[in-house]
Amino acid sequence: MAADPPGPAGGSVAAAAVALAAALAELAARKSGRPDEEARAAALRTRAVSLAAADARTYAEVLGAEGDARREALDRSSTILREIAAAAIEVSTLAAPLAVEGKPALRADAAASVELADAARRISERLVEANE
Amino acid sequence: MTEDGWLNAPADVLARLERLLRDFVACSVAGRVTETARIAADYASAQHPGDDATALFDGRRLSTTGAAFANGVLANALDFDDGHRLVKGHPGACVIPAALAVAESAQASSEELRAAILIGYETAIRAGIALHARSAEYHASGAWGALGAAAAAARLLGLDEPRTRHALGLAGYHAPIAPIMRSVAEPAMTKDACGWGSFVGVSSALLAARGFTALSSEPVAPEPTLGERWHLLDVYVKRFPCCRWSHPAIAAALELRKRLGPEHIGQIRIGTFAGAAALARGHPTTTEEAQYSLVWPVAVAVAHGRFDVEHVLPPAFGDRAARRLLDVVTVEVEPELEAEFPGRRRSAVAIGTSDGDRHESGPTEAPGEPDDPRWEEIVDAKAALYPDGGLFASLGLLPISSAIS
Repeated sequence: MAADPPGPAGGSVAAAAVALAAALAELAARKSGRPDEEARAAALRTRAVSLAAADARTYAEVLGAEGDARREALDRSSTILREIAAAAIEVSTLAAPLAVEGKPALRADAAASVELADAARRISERLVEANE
Repeated sequence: MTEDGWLNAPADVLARLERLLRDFVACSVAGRVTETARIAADYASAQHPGDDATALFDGRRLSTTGAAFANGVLANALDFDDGHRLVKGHPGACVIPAALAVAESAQASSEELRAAILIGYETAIRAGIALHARSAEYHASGAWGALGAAAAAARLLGLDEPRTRHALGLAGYHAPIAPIMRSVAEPAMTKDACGWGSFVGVSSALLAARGFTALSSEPVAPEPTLGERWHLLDVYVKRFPCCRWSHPAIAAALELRKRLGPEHIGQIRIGTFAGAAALARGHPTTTEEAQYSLVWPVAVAVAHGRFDVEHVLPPAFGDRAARRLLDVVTVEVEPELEAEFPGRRRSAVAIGTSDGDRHESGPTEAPGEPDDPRWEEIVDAKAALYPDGGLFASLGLLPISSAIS
């Protein structure tokens, strides 16, 4: 992440955070006997990992472009960031009930999932603003 | 109506009630991500702390009134919750939080909770119809929903008839005025004042229980059909998280979108009723501006073939595909569609393509109206999309399939 020239950055970190949050939700759902939520969390985890890679690609395009091409690359980057935000919303929405109603031993983990996903959404929001 | 009468309501009423509870829970799960809901829960935690009831999907313990407020705001935060055409607002988000808070505090049974919610719906909708009939100004849900909340709370607290009347009188007297059209013109977190309606309703019942008196309750005139005519059967549910008045146009746009790619769109014309035409038309910058907009949801629907919760939350508002379409949308009031409002709310969308074709939806009704055969399907889809983590079971409420079979 810290390497030069820059590679994956904030957007990929947000997506990775969504993947981690989804994994926590998946765990909490499984231990709470909620198979539907577990399956959805697993799918979101996979999707977030692919979004992290997609963000790294679009960010590289932004860095390598100028003028109109850069503007178009920024738009593509924002599209990926909005998808990361949408995944974050879904993970947070999935995990929040588990943090209150799920298996007591895993509620704090589900709450961690919510915090992480909400942070990822805020990061995505800020990065989209920066792209404007 | 006797107490037992409420518990033995017709099967179709109870089945709808069950699904309205499901819908309320789904809307609350989805609404938790909004700033509106977070601020309300933080405020309630700071100013109305206690150990009587719970902030839903937040977990913090609150006073009964605090939980009624926070959960009322939560349920309505996405404008995704149920409604009724004639009251032009949201009974569930006022009534259910009040009933849940008092039931949790009083450790009431699930049957008592259901009966109280049913009483609350029937009272709230009657109060809303009466209020709209005698007031020229259009008041938001909290203004009449407070009476439904009070009725539900009074039932759960076991108030006798005189004290129940005082509870209703207090709720009618202290309910928020909530001039909703101002909140439509200038979208803000104020919305339908459901949190305050729920808060006032619970406070009124708690005051009446202690002997606080009120003038008689004008808004709920005695109605001979109470317990015979079930207004709950006329409650609609929402498929989209935004003002109901934009739903017909969204549905129409989605139908046309199935035939058209967004790259071919030249112009979009929305024909509608005056209330919908008064909704915002600019580029939204907040959740509320996106929700109280006619053109944003239609632009998103045409651009992406769907309109979901993510589209009323940042960072969706910068979506260039939707923003481009915003600039080609025009809105006109259709006299035929205005004449049938509010009994029916329909809109028509016409899309002109870049190669000169024109596609028209014809007048379209919002999905989820009371007579929509997909009514149950819409609730079930929301419940599946926003699972409750086990809340419904912990409330002692039957799985929906058991209640209906």
